[in-house]
Amino acid sequence: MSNGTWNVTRRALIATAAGGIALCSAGMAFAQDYPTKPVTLVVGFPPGGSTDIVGRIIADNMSRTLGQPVIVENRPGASGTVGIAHVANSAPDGYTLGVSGLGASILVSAMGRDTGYDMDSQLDVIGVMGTLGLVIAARKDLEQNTLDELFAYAKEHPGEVSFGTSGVGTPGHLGMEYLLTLADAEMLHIPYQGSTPQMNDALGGHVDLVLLPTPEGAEQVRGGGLKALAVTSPERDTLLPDVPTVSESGFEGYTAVLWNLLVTADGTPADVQAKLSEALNAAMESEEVRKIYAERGLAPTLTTPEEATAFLASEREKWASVITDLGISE
Amino acid sequence: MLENILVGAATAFTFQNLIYCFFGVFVGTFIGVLPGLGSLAAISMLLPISFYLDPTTALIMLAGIYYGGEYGGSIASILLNIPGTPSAAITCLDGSPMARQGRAGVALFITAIASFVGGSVGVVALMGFGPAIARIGLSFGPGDYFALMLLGLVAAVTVGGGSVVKGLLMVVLGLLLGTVGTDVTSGEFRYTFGYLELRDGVSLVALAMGIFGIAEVISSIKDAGQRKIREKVTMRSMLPTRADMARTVGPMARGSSIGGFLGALPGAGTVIAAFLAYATEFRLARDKSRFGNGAVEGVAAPEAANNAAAQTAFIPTLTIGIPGSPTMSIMLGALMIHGITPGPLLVSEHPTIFWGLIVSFWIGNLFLLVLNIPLIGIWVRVLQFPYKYVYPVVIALICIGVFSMRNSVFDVGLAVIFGTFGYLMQQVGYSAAPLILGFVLGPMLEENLRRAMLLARGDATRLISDPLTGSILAMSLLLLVWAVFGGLLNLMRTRARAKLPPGEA
Repeated sequence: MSNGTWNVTRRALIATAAGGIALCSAGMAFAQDYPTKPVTLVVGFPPGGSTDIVGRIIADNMSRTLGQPVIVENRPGASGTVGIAHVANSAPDGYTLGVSGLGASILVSAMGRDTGYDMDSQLDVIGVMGTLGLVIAARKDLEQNTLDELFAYAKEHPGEVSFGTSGVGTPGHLGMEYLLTLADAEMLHIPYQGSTPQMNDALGGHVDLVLLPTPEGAEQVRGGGLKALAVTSPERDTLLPDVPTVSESGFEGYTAVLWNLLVTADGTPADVQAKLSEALNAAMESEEVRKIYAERGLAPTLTTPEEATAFLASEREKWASVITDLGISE
Repeated sequence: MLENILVGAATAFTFQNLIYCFFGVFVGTFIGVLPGLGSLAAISMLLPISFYLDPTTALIMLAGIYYGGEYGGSIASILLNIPGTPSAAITCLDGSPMARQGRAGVALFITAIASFVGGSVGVVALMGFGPAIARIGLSFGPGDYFALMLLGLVAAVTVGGGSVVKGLLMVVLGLLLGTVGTDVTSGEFRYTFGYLELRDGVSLVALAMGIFGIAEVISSIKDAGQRKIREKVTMRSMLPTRADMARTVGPMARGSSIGGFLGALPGAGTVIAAFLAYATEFRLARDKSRFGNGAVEGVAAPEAANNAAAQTAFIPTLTIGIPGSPTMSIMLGALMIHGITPGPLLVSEHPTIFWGLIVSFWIGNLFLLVLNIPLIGIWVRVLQFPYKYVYPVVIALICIGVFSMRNSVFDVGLAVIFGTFGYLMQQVGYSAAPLILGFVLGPMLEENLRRAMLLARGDATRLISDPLTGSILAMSLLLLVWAVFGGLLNLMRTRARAKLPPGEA
């Protein structure tokens, strides 16, 4: 192999050229043909959770619009950031999408923690996948029945009322702490791992208040185990039409909602993004998605990628200021 | 009640549901047998199918995989000394020695019977007292959980028959490994070394499969050539003797009760149930030296317990909408995909789902018994395969299984590291079982203690003054005293005996 070096170089050259051509043709093929193979939708939470369900419902519908299966892949961990980090580092070809929630999109990094990616420079937002409110629910034998009564009591007895959330730095925790600063009251925060263990302690009367995603909370309220004091969504929730919003209860303009964004790696061709945005919005408008969303207490959203990016920016501004005000960032 | 059962039977006995029930338990058994691949992975993979199925049918299938997996989990423990699922880890302690003594068939037979008994007790509890048990579960606050976990640790420290100091060391190591991840109370990261993958802690499957599975494979490489291959497996060698059966009645009953109770508590789970059932039998046994050397009680009790727990885990899940484990969350996910939000009204508003599922549990457990007894003959023949073919397959399965839990290559690396560590520990006589228990109990112990202290505003006496917490703590204390005095007494007896001239002992 005396001329081995030359050989390798020539091979490498040919390979590069061929690869280049393949890349170019793939690039040109995008406009008309995308998608030509199954698309992966990365969910940063385990199967069966509420984020996973949203992902699966939308993936199922988008599969039909796109004409290729959209497969949900669970990469759970670290408030969803493990999954989004995977999307951020994948090829920007539109074949790896991600469901990015409030935590992975904003809260983790706003609290000064490393996520393994930069939301703005490494990811593109395709659209919002719906919003979900929280319900502030109390153990059924708590004396107070409204937010007013509760805050009046909490002001006189600082730190006596306890509230459970799904963990430190979760929307429920931050939303409640923010509300407490507005009301100038003090309560004891009891963090849990996820929303179900706190439900157990509220039903058993071990903790006074809990912040639950509306569908799970509404079921417990209907069953008589908990009573709802307020919902955090901007308007009353269809699942709990008799329960006032926080905004109605004397904190005008207050909202705290969970949402998910459909994201893809930065640099994904514009026409692919447009196709995905169309498919997402078609899902949001479909009968079937609307029906399940209504049953699950999710509000469907129609957004262009620009609107969704603006939504992300406004949400970030709001939550970042909450985190700074509360002084809990690292 | 009868009316409800009839509603359930009408649902469960449709052709479609019977087929899916059988498919579920069949897949569950096989997935359970394969080391590393657990029911959680199988259920996650099959969840998308439930989109296209009636919600009841989907649940019947997914649930079948779940409790079927508990049946199958112990088979690999007995045959290969590698647990098929983490909850079958404890079955290795006595199941594998039985296989080495040529009693693999007996062990498998007892496993099948104990699993059936445990499963049946669990279903009866679910059917007869579901809502009542759920209410008791709710009355368990953070303090009570802490006390219960402490009781578990105390009961476990002395298990294994070997050195207590070594056992303690492994428990402590397990507790330390359990602290890796995000601290629930403060949100701080502990021992994550900058890895995103460690923020949710070390994966139980990676740890259990590494420290039991990979370690066992490594240690067998050394003596692969000397392994004896038995020529014949007769039907008689598979059937337990009358003495065996008599010995297992008590353990099965106690195991089923322990498992049934712990399964109903959200978060406690099948692993803890199996370990505690084993620890109980060890405490109660007169001749402790038999444990770890092929005691049938050591196989029967944990198997009854994890199967009972697998059934009663459905109590909080279905009657109040609180899933106690990741697997249970997926079950509820299968309902949510169909727009049904689980909660306390599920039983009354969707009686066909609840009762159909329960009747399917009966059918499924029967299927499992009928499926497993004839399979014993086939499983025993696995022992006749040369190790050089079996172990590469085992390693591959472990890697796939660990990876599939979170689609994480990082976890596979962890499993390999734990495997090497487990092998070294094994060589110097440390048992992995206490480590696993410490790892499972530790985080729950810490989280609940700190939560209880938060709620008590730092007043530790509130733990003792609470009647429930106080009495469980007292039980731990009694057990500790018993263990210490029992140990001393034994020591004195052995010393006294040792002084006698040979032949007279």
